[in-house]
This record gives sequence, C-alpha cells and structure tokens, in this order.
Amino acid sequence: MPRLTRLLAALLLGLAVFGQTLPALAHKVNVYAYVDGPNIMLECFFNKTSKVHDGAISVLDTATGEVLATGTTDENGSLSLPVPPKAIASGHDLKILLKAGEGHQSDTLVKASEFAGLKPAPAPAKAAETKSAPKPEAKPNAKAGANPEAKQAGAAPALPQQGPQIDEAMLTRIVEQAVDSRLAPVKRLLMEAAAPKGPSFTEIAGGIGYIFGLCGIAALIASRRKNRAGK
Amino acid sequence: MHISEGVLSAPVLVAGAALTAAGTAVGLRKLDYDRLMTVAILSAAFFVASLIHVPIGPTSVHLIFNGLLGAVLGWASFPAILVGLLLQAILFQFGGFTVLGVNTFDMAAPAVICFLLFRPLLRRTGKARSIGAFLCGSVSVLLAALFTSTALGLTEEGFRHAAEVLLVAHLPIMLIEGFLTVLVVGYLTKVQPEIFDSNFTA
Repeated sequence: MPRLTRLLAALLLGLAVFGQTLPALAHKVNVYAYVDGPNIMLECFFNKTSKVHDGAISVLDTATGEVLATGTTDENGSLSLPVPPKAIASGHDLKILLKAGEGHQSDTLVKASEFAGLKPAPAPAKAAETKSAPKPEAKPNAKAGANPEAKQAGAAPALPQQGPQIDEAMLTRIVEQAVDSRLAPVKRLLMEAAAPKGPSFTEIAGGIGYIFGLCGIAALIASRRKNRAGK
Repeated sequence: MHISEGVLSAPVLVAGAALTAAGTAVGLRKLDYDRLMTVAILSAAFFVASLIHVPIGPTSVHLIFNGLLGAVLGWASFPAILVGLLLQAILFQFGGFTVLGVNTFDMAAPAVICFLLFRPLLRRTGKARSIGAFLCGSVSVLLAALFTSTALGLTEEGFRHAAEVLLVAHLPIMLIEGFLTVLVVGYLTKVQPEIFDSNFTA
C-alpha cells in the first residue's frame, strides 16, 4: 500500500502544481458589461486568455423579462450593442445573459443609472427644427437649428432658446459624454483586473485536504461500527 | 463538462439528483472500508484533473479521469465523484449545487458502466488488461459526453448539436485518458495486482 499511496500522492501533487501553472484556465464563463456613450460594451471570457467567441447574448429588461436585444460575440469575446431605446425610456435595469454553449451560462446586471444620461431630446424641439429647416436655408446664417425666429414661429412649447446658447440639458449631456469617454478605458482596466485567475493553489490544496478529511471521518465511523459489531 | 447553474430544467435536475442518490447508495454499500484511502486518492485525482484544460478550437475541455476511477473503484466511483464535484462547486464555483446530481451522474454512470463492461478484460492480465484499461478510459469519456448532451438536449439545446460539439471536442480527451488509464493500470498491476482480482464489488 505505501508504494501505491506514494505514487498516487505524487501524481496528485504533480497535477495540482501543473494545473496551477497552466495559463489559469478556469471553467466558469464570465460576462462583464459597462456603458460607453450610447452603447453597452460586453466582454465574455473563461479567463484572461480564453475568450468566448460566437457566444449568444440577450439583453433582458429585469422588470418585465422581455428580451430587448440580442447579439453574438466576436472572436475576441467582445460585443457592443446600442442601449435599447425601450430601456432608456422605461429606465429599468438590464440583465445581460450569455450562453456560451455546452451548458455554460452567465449573466450580469447593467443598472439603469448607467445609461440614464441617454434620455433623448424631447420630441417637440425636433419637430420645431424640421419645420424651421427650409426657412434658415434661405438666410445667409447657415447654422443648423440656430434660428431663434424660426423657433418662435414654430410650435415650441418645450425647449427654450436653442441658438448659440447652450442650455443646461445640453451642457449636462456634453459633460456626461466627455466623462464617459474618459472613463471607458478605466472601466476596461477594472474589468480586466477583476477577471478571475482560476483556482489558486491554496484552494486546490484545501479541496484535497477536505477529501482526505472526509475519508478519515468515514474510516473512523467504519472502525467504530466494526468494534461495536465485534463486541 | 460541468454544466452551470440555471441551465437545465427542473425535471432533468430532479432526475439527475435521484439517479445520483441511488448510485451513491449502491457505491457506499459496496465500498470496502479497507480500501478507503485509494478511494480518497482517486477522488482527489478527479478533483484536480478537471483543472487541466486542453484548448480545442473555440472551446476548452478538461480531463475527467472517470475511466480510471471506474476501472479501479467500480461502484465507489459514485461517492468519489460526488465528493469531488461538491468540493469543486464550493471552492471554485465549477458547476453548481442544484446541478450537482446531473453532473455527478454524467460522469460517474459512465465510470460504472465501463467498469461493468470491461471488468472481464481488466481481470485478465497482460495485453487484455491494457486493452480493457484503454477502452475503459476512452469509452467513459464518450459516454460522459453523451449523457451531458442528453441532459442539455432534454432541456432546450438541440441534442444533436450539443452532442456533436461535445463529442468532437472530447475526442482528443478520449485518447489521452485511454492512454493514461493504461499507464496507471499497468503500474497498479505491478505494485498491487490484488485490486483487480477482488475488485471493490467483491
């Protein structure tokens, strides 16, 4: 028995160390998402080096369960989808579901607050702009939508002066877009840092320890039973 | 081949759990407590084997070792694999708890089936034993892929598609495990041939 135990124990240790040093290939699929401007950026992978390509993505409304968008990841495990208009309008959180085949599945949440800044410009302003489009073209001043007179002429109950003055809503949007574009690479860095590195040697050793512990308990119970039966 | 949580439908999960419970009960009853150490070591080998991945095209597959477990442990493969998978679920979140029954059955049933099929070959010596070992190692991977595809197919994915993908991806694993089983069985024959005479099912 000792030689057998020694061999198998050596085999085990070898496997544990070997399995640890291999480019940490975890077996759990992961999907990470962040909002960049008008799009949801997705990264899907098993670990840092093994990405999920041709993974099936569905974007669901967490409140209604309705599927708002679908897509497939490219060979780098990435996908960018525009934030579904319905989600922007309803302001519900979104659940991103990834199916990587062979029973691998994972999901993540995109909070409504991340794309709240995407609320579209109110419709009346757009209608006013199109109505006034033929008029400004006649004038030498060719600034698009920069015609206060046309605005006042058209039905403009919603938006105040649009011309060279930037109102608060537009300013907020501009700032948010600028911040988003600056934050996008930072978010990517965070995602990559958070990527799982596979089971650590500690965890593997722990698991093996538990197995032998269970074996010991089982042997103890068995020997007690034998003793009692013997008596 | 660990199926993740939330993929399979409830009936499949319940069936898997029931079948695994039955298999484990038989395994425990037939367990020879003098050989408990070997069971533990092989369970640990199974536990670690799933960490060794072989990238195949778009996916990556891992070693299973259920053929080796079947050849040496017989019915005791059920508790051995159950414990291994349970710890993987707890420590690494591989697979899951609700799906533990299905995953265990997917890997342990082929082990037992191959054990029963190839036991006559394994009992003999020389080339016959090597052939038996190779078949045990490779066929159990094949069956494991089939059972996994069935579980997925019964839920939603087209069975044929899942089966094709899994089988093709695991062909190299079948060969690798066949050879590994031959190696280990060969070594065991040299140091402790009694394992195959009075096998665990006595």
